[in-house]
Amino acid sequence: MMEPNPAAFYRASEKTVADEALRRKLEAATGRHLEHVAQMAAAFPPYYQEKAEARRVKAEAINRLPDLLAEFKRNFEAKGGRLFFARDAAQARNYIVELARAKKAKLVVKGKSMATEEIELNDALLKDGVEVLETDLGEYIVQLRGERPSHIITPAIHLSKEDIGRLFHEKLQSPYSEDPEALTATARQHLRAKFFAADMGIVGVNFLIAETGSLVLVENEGNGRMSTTLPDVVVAVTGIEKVIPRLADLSHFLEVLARTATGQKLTAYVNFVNGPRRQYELDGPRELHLVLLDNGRTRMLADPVLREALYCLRCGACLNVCPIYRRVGGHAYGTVYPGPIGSIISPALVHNGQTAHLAFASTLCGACKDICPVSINIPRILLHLRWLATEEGLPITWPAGPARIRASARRAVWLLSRPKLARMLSRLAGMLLRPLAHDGYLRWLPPPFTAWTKYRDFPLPGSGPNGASQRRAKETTDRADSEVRL
Amino acid sequence: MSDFETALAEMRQALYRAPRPLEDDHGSLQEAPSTLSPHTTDTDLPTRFARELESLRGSVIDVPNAEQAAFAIAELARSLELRSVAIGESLRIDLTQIVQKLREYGIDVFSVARVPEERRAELRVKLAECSAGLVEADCAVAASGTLVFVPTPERPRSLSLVPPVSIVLLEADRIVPDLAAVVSVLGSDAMRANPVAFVTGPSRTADIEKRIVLGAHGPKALYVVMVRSLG
Repeated sequence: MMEPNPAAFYRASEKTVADEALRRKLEAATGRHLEHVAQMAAAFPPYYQEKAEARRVKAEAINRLPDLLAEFKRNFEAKGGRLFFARDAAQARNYIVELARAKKAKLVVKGKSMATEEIELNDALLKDGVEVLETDLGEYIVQLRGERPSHIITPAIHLSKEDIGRLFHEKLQSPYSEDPEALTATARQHLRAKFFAADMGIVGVNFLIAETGSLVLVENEGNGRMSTTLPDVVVAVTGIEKVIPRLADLSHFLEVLARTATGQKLTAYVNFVNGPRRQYELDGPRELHLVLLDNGRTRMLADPVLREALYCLRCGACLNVCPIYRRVGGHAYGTVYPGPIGSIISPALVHNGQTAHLAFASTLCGACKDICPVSINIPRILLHLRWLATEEGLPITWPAGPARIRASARRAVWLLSRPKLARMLSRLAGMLLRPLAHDGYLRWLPPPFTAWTKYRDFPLPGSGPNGASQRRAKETTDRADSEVRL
Repeated sequence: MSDFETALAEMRQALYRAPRPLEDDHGSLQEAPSTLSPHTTDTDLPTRFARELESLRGSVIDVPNAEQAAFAIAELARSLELRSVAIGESLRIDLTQIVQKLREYGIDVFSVARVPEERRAELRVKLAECSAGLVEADCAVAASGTLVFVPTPERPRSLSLVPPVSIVLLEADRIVPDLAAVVSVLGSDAMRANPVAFVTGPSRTADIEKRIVLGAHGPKALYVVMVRSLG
């Protein structure tokens, strides 16, 4: 795994954009997402109401976070659960590795969990001689390939059925097939025995309910339910921001989560984990642990703009609609959480300043905010992070582009840092070009700008929204974050 | 102070330093959840439930009473060539007739209810190898075709999870319009104490090129026997 930095992101993006086959796979997997969600919302009028409710509950939960976590802990422990608070990734890893050692665990089955990716748990367990098996089909596939998931909810989005057929043939010695049914059956068969043999199950969590001390897991395959039902020791790992106040709040999230993530009304499974197994119960863990992870989240809480990123439900929809993610794919970001949400949470969660450049890898088109089930204002947070990076003078060095672009950028910087001259030239150009304009737009510009108007119209300089924004710029002498500030 | 309490104090500090977010951006922060109207206005909840579940490739068998349920399940077991069926204790619908009928058809029926510790290992293996699990749902949701189970030692959660075929008894009166209504029907005590599961169709995955495949890890097939009257 490369360290995330601007040069690596740039090179990886170029590589993906040039990889015709990979682009087709990404396009096929994400292309119709907006359409599906729109169809689903049309068929379910309360969708937007439920989104607003979910956002309201998240706002309340984050504002009352310390009290809710204390309430959750009381109720969870009253049922016999054991809660461990981990300040950072290392503490979380050590607790789980120690636990596996104490239980003499040889085999661990894992449900899908981005939090365990975040703390790089698998490597720590493997190093300690514990076999760790991902059981979500997509996660199992990327684990066999020794890769990281390239999407939050569709980890193997970058692979074709042929890729997976070859992988299974090679690693599992199954007869080659590229039929998804047959491939799924192969994985099911391999993993079935492991669920029963596993000493420990490790899973992620979608919601913690403060009122009842319940963990709630949302999934389609049944592997989350297997992982929390069959092994004797179950460890759930999740961020502090997953707590919600009341049981009655849950339905708002269930009504929007699957619809936004996959276009389903509801996932096949919603599982409540409520303490260890009781007397005469056939199944369920003898011990239930929860690792509650901070790892930078309190830092996010302290920033009133960034705080909103803690509403995230990890549905992955913002990836599917992002014009950047759809072109460069998840691996290019070099972070555990890719895409728009990854660009705003990675700086605080994982890399301590190393991912500040990702805030610049966005067109600020706003599709992510629109699709988000809790309407996180991702573009505003991106602007905020850009401002922070500039204020703090973080060294973000992008690799040099082609000479022509560098030269144009130099000329633009020269001109735009002389606002009076720029405005004067813009007005002059506006006057000269006015006879050519249609509805305030130019369909053709003289060289060297002809290349632009070949693909899109250019707004008449000094007029329309452009002119208006120039007048605004004249009145506001504030720095660029004026529209961002709360 | 424990680590946890220190952390909570830091979170309080973090929230205190910055004022609460703007109302218009973050919605009203009032605590009482507002009430939404039910998500389905269908008056015929069983029909809506059946339609939703069938769209997810689950099957619904509509029967008038428990006696007919016994016939339907036995016939289903025969057509699927089931060898053995795992059950728990009865909930509202009496299982006696059904078990009797299945045994008449030569099918091995065994119980995994209230298992003493020394028999756990053996019954886990037996459950893993059986052909179907039969269990009653505590309620169901019409708008999404969801079955809700409240597993207890009498009806362990594996019954609707481990066997490749899941047969579910459902009393038609126990179908509620939407998810929000589930809490009021089951009560928050039941949902706080037991490993509740919402099950919507057979287990599925779309991890390979977004193609939907059933039976990823849980049941590949789901049959709901909907009983109109217990009389």
